[in-house]
Amino acid sequence: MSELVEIVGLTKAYDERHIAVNNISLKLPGGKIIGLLGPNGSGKTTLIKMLNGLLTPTRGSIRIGGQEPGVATKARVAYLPDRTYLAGNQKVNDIMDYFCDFYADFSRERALGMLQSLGIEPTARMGTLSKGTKEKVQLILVMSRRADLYILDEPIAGVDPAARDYILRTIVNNYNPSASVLISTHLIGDIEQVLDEVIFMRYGYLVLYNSADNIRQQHGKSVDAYFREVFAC
Amino acid sequence: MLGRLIKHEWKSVYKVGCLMLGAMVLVTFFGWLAFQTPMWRSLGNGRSSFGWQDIFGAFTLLLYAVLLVVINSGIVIYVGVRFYKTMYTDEGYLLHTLPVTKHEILVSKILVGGLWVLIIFFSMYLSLFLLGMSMLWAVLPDQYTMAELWQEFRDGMGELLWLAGAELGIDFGIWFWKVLFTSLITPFVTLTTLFGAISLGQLASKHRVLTAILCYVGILIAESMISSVFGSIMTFSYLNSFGAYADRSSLAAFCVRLLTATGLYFVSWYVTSHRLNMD
Repeated sequence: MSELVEIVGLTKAYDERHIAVNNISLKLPGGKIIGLLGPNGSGKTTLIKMLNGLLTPTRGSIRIGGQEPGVATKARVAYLPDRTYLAGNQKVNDIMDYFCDFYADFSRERALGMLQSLGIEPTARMGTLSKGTKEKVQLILVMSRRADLYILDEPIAGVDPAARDYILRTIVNNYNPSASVLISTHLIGDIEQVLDEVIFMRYGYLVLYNSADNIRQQHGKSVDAYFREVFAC
Repeated sequence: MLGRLIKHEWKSVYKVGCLMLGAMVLVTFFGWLAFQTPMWRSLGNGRSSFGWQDIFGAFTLLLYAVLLVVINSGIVIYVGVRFYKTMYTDEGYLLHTLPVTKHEILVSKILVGGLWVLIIFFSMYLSLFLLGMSMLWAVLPDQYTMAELWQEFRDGMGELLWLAGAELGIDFGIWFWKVLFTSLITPFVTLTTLFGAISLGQLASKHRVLTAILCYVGILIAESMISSVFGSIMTFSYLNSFGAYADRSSLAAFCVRLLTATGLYFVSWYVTSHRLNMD
């Protein structure tokens, strides 16, 4: 199986006492939906930021499609951050223009179709939309790309259950089947059904990397139940 | 990709830029208004009177000067804040995940921001020129027309500049081109220095904005000190000619600013390429 992402000895230390990601090595294949799971502060977002070149690793290396994070990998990776990163004064249409200009794999038609299905006006300004709607717009923009790797940081956090269903459907129905999707969350019960593989992280360490089916077979319980057992306080 | 970055940067900045140009027009109108009071009119007719409108005129002129400084500083501050917001806050998540190089990002921001600072800078020159004209118009004796004044100005200007140049030891023709060149480059140099200071602030683990401000102040002080030393060396043998002394001093200061800005451009590039740590 060809590896899409290869991480070797990756560490991010803010100082000697604060090590957000500690010596992680991983190989992620293509064509899978992978859950990056762990409690708050486990290092999920830090790992994701390093994959996207938003944080500089202290040690170790990352390769996406054989290349270090840079111009070439950013053209292949669609990233949804855990926050609203679009300026409030921009119209949805303007942001689509932006994506069209910079991402060769962005489909305006798909984005407009998804916006229409949600009743979001392309002429609306981001600042006038509710938090949930802003998150949906950001997800739509990301999922309208034909990327090789989708990295979604907490896509279902802070939205109501109906919106969660919509977001999960959007992810499953719109991602490029030959691509991989890395979803970070601590709301495992909601996304377990779509996961092929799971990564558990705690205190910056990699605790487990296995297929969701293997976990269910080996431990006789759902990934969610196993997660609660592993991370019991 | 650089062209696309410039296009989108321009689209984001032009509204505020146009707003500032509009403010400059309004401020220029205030300046013109200040010279419409009876005192200026009476000066032109060889009399001198002072009324309550002249107090209003003096305040208007003061307001004009203050607003001119505010607009000029305002555009630089706006471009600097926008650089910080789009590079190092949540909005940076979009910019730094685009498939573009850090050089392209920096160059697009310096070019667009610098161009707007330049536009505002030249609009200030135009405003001052118009203010001067409105003052002349106000004090011009009744028997004179503006056309006659221009004619006299044109006739006497060459001789005046030649005499002044001979007295100061300076060629005003060369001096004019030097001033124009440095005026065209300075906005870009200013912004590159400011962006470098903001980027330097990112190297701190906490209080990054405060660190950036301190870095900027420190850079300006260091620039001033180095310019003085460098300028003294360059002007040592020209102490007998004020014009040449001033010319060499300003050239020394400009060279120091240019070198500092070049260095800080690479600091910005290094920070965004190798030391980027988005919160």
